[in-house]
Amino acid sequence: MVQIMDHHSRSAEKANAALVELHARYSKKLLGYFIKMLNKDVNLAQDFVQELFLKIMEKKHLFDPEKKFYSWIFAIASNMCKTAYRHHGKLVELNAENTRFSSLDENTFEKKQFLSALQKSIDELEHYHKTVFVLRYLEHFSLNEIADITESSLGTVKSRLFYATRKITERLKHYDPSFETQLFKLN
Amino acid sequence: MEDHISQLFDLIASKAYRSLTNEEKAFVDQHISPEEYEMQRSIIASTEELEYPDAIPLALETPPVSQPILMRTIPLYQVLIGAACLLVGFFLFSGKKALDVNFSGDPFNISVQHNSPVIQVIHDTVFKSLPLLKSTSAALSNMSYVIDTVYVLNEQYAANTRMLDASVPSLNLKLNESLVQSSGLSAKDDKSTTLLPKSQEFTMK
Repeated sequence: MVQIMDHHSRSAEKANAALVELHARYSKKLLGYFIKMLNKDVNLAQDFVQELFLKIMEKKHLFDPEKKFYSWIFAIASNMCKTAYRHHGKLVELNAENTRFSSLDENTFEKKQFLSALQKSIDELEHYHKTVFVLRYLEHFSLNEIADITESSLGTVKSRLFYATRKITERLKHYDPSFETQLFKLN
Repeated sequence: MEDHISQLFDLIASKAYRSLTNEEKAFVDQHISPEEYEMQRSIIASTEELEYPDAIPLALETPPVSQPILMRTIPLYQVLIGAACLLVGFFLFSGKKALDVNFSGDPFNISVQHNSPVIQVIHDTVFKSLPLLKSTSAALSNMSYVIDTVYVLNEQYAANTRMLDASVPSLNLKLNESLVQSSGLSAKDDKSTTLLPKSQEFTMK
């Protein structure tokens, strides 16, 4: 990736070609991250992806070749979400489909309700808690990668993850976790 | 404090409560309840089941490529307009110097730089030298113009060096002017000949 940035940035046309290549590699993962961070607002997430790649083009001189490229672009993405939070506050409105349970049986209904509440609790987290939570449990980044992206220490990342989960737990403690699964994949 | 939190996080991420050793259970119990411990694990596991829209990224809209100014192409009409402007500017301003008028405070003493293209000073009073009888054709060509005041130079006739010595001191200015205005008629038809003295002095015997 560093090679792409170096070799293709000599002229404007080649820089655009490099940008298209980067877009092909990272846009889907970035779009998924933005959708989760922006409360499923797909259109806004698409705009953010476009804006992010334009930022990459403008600030390519700020890229440190010693660091991983995806950490850099996810750091930019995280900062964009932080700015959006500052300007618009918490985006806590959930899509209408998350509250429709009409045709579900009781067990599925309860589970859906729990997942809906979990979704809402994640959306209501503070930005720095939500960022690490989404990166870790929804985008499956390693702890070290999250530390790079958020430019913080490993201990800080663990602490934020713990408190983020704790806040969600407090909000959902009235749910009976009888449906908990055995899908623990954490390393 | 942060070390405890970090250790708690590692335990939650790796083991169920019932799998903890007695020491680990004691450590956990110091900070959170077993129910909260399991609840945190449940929530982390449940995040796998959250559903998000699976959207396809839109095509990247790359910014227009901006070329250096020397590499840009411009329409032919712009070239022609530029060349025409250059020509007009050249003919308007070539060879003309800036006006350099010196107002010295004396309204009758305004000087303009030599060869000034803009202003030609016409003085209020112009002196005119009238052509005299003895003047040559070259003198006539130096005639000036009078605008306001005319000074007429009355000049004595030069000594008559003619052989016949007409000796006509009464031949005055009126005759001179008439002669000047002569239309080239013959002496017979010229009315001014009536002014000539009729004497036998001119008669050749």
